[in-house]
Amino acid sequence: MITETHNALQEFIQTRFASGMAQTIGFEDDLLMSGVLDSLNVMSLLAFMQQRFDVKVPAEDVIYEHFVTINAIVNYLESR
Amino acid sequence: MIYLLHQMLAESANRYPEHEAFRFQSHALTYAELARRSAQLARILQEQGVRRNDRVGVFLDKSLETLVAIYGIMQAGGAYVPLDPKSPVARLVSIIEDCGLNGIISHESRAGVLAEARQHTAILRFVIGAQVDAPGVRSISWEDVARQPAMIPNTPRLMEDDLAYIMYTSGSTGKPKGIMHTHFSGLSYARMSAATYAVSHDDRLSNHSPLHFDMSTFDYLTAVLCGATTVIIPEAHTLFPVNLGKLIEAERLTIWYSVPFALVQLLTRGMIDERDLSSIRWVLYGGEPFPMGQLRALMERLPGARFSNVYGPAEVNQCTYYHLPPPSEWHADWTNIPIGVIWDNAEGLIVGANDQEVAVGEVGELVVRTPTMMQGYWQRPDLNENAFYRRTIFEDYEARYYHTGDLMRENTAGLLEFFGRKDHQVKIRGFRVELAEIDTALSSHEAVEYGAAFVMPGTDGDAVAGAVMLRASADVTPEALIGHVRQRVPVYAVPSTIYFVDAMPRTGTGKIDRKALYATVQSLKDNERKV
Repeated sequence: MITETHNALQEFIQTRFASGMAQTIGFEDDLLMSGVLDSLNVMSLLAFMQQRFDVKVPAEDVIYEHFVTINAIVNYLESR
Repeated sequence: MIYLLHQMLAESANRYPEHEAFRFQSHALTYAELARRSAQLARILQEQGVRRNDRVGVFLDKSLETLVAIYGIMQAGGAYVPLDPKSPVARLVSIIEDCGLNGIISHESRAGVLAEARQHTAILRFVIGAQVDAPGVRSISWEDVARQPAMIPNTPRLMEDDLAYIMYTSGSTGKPKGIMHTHFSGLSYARMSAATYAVSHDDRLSNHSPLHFDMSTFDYLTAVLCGATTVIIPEAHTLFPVNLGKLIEAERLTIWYSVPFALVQLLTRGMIDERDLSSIRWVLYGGEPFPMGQLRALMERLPGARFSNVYGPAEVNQCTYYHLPPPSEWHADWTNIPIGVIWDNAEGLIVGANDQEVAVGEVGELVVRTPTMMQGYWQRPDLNENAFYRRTIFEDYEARYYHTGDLMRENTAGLLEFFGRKDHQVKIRGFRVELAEIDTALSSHEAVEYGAAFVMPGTDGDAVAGAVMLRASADVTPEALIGHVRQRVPVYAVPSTIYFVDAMPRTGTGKIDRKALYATVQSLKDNERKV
């Protein structure tokens, strides 16, 4: 099910990290291999998640398993 | 008898055939397997017409195939040319054209990009590892390569001055320039770095750098000379320090080599207090200065490891070394860790105007000659004219030094100290300002995780501005930061404005990207106006 969370993350990632890229970032697209996420963007994404969803991600949860796709981020947020 | 880079592989495959040469995730290549697979590839490359000094592109994410590709290309007689796998198509095309790449070794995931690139250049004739549907392009799969006999029918006769690899780097005009390294310069680097850091076949090296970054030569060349094991760090681990810490522990790495940024991330976000990192015996860092407070913290966290500052532009591989004393012995007047001393078989001079040597203790540009130095920039006589300083030593002997563009001073202890880039030197109201000096001052504030200075054009001329990334839960006013810097730099170098940013923009190789920083700050200002 596509939620408001999916759409908010997609819009943020697309406009902030993928502007100028030809393709749209899909919910299952690998954010790491495609070069969309870099270490700079990970920090911005964490700040966005705190501000938008009021979720502060503790250091031990900042692992690639939680950030590999938009779906993975949504799953992580739902588990909190 | 070894005078070519791929002879290192033959020798290590002979001595340690079953020893793991490279690991990537759950896969590994032994030295015997790497020798076999690269020979199979060399055979295919020769069939495709690759001959001595021909350039072949390597367009791969970090993988075991990367090693097969570079050793296969060299065995075929060619020179490998790393292509940034995240490169935009236009830059890719520009390098294919500039370097005359008839062939590229790649992966199926890059087939679309290569097909698009092929529409803009007719030079590309064959691709290995990806099916590229374009007329005039032959596609060969990795399965085809694996079916070849592991025997090169026409072992090419090469000399040490033949090309081994060409690394592209950004040019000041925007056109990438190719740094040509020969078997002699590459092998000299492998031997000298192996000796400097006592690398043995028992070592387990990190490979943090991508292939197109020159620091990868330590992991991909030096390691093979020594018969060591190199663990390729997956891209995902470089973005997530918690994962990285776990990998270092699980793989029992003994030598780490990266830009400081990766180590700072590991220190501040890697939760390394929960890790056993005692296997690390030596930490090498290079590419930019390491913020001293964070370096001290990391050294205290890894008491069993030696730390070394590595310096050398890609044009010379490396040309100095400095093994750090414990933090308790650091000099109070150091603004950065020294660069150290010129390494063996090399000579450095510090020169000022007209390439005349400056007095000891004065700041000047480092020029250096070392066996690890490039042959020159690929087909750029204009750049080569300025890149080298030629000095007549005797009537019949001219020495060639590389202009590093880096400003250095020799301190009273005989150590070189780094004072920033010659070409990043900026003038503010007529005064010379070194931006790196302001970075250091900003970063030394307790609330600041990282600070960087940049030039902001204004109606009243250029001004220095600063951008800072605060530590978690730190709170500080711009005024307090400006006050802090004012105590550390000349008055004309004090930033007029401080911006708070979530993160520092960095180039693909981890260095601060000042242009992007300026753009980031501009967008912050635009948003403020809208509000």
